[in-house]
Amino acid sequence: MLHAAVLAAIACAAAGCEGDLDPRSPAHVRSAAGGHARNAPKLMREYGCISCHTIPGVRGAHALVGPSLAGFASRQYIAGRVANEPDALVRWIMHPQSVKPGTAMPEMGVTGQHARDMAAYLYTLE
Amino acid sequence: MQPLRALALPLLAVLATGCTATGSQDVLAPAGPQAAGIARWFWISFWLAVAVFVVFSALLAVGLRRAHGRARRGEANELSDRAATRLVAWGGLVIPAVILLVLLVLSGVTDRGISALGRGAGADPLTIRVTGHQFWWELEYLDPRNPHRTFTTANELHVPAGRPVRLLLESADVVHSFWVPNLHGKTDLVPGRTNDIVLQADTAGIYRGQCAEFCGVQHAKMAMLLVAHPERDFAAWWERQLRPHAPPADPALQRGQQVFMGNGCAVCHSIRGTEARGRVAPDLTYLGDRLTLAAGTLGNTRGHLMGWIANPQGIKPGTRMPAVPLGGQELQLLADYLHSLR
Repeated sequence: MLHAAVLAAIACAAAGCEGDLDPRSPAHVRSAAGGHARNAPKLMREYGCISCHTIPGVRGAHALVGPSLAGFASRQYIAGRVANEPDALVRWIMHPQSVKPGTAMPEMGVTGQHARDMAAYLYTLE
Repeated sequence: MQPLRALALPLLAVLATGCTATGSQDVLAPAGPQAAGIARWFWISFWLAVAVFVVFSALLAVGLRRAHGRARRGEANELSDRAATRLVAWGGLVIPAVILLVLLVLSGVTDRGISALGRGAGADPLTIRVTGHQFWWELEYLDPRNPHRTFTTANELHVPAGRPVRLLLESADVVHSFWVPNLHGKTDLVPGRTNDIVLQADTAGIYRGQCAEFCGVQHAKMAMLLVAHPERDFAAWWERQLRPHAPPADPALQRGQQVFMGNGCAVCHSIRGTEARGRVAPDLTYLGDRLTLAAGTLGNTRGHLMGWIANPQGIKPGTRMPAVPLGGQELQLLADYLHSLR
């Protein structure tokens, strides 16, 4: 019994270690985005993201106007236009029209810090 | 309306948490004389009830102790006939009758007090006709002496602080109920009948209210904000509401207006100064100034506005507003135009 528990603990620790080595792991990317994911749900409700997107973990976000953001961290592209990287995501959130002119996602006057916070949250959505 | 707009996001964040610590929608945080009267009645009844509870808990405790003591001593656990009769007569008849009489009188006094406040409003108080719809509030500001100064808005009720306002409550479809807890009790809006209340916000501020009688599938998302202004600001607000819009000078806004006119929006909605004169949906003339959209459901931001227009049924399933298919660019232009209405 003790044996199994110790083995399980070691296995968990090993998995954690493996995550830290991956440069695209959530913790690494979060710090790259420079944001605080825990601020994001409130921001998403205030700016209005929830009125167009379904976003896991954000109360009231179950809309179908824009694409669902479930699994966003695993996606290769943002808006089918640019590679999914922290800087590109922050730029997309702040100025979607400059990344993809004519898209339905509006300029919402998102500040730099707020965009980084929301990007950090999106990168937790594996 | 600049200070109000600056307050909007943080205020809405607070309101959205439903945080009673701020007193929002709190019946026990009265902000006007009618609500104060009701709250006073509540507290007196409450403490009376607490007193009764304490007394009877004590009686129960005493009774249990005595019963225990007597059982231990082998005595019979009964009151004498006289004691029992006295207990029932006082505790079961006299005292309850007195308490109920007190509550009855209190209730009558409170009610008459509120009516007196209504009569004290004078012969000609500011009067607003509130018509309940599924699922929004139509607000017609009446000026009986100058009918051309009457106008209609929706969902955000503006009043002057510190003086009584009379509300004529009517319904266009089913029974709704008007309830701004900080200011007054609930009063139904019954189709075919006009109910009449007077309320007063003592200080300037924003008071949230909502429909309090189940009226259909989106009853829960039929809120309103009552905005009380200092007197001079209120007069300025009224003047502004009367001004119809001139055609937009900016070509982008012109295109936005064309999207509005060309997609059926004008059939239901009205914008003073344009051909849009629909009566079955909220007036949008000064939508850019409003704090919320869809009857208090969403903050008035570009993101929420576009999400709402693109798919109202996704946010308020069963609302009367249909989804109108618009391209991404059209949606942007329309939202820009609507936000320019300030």
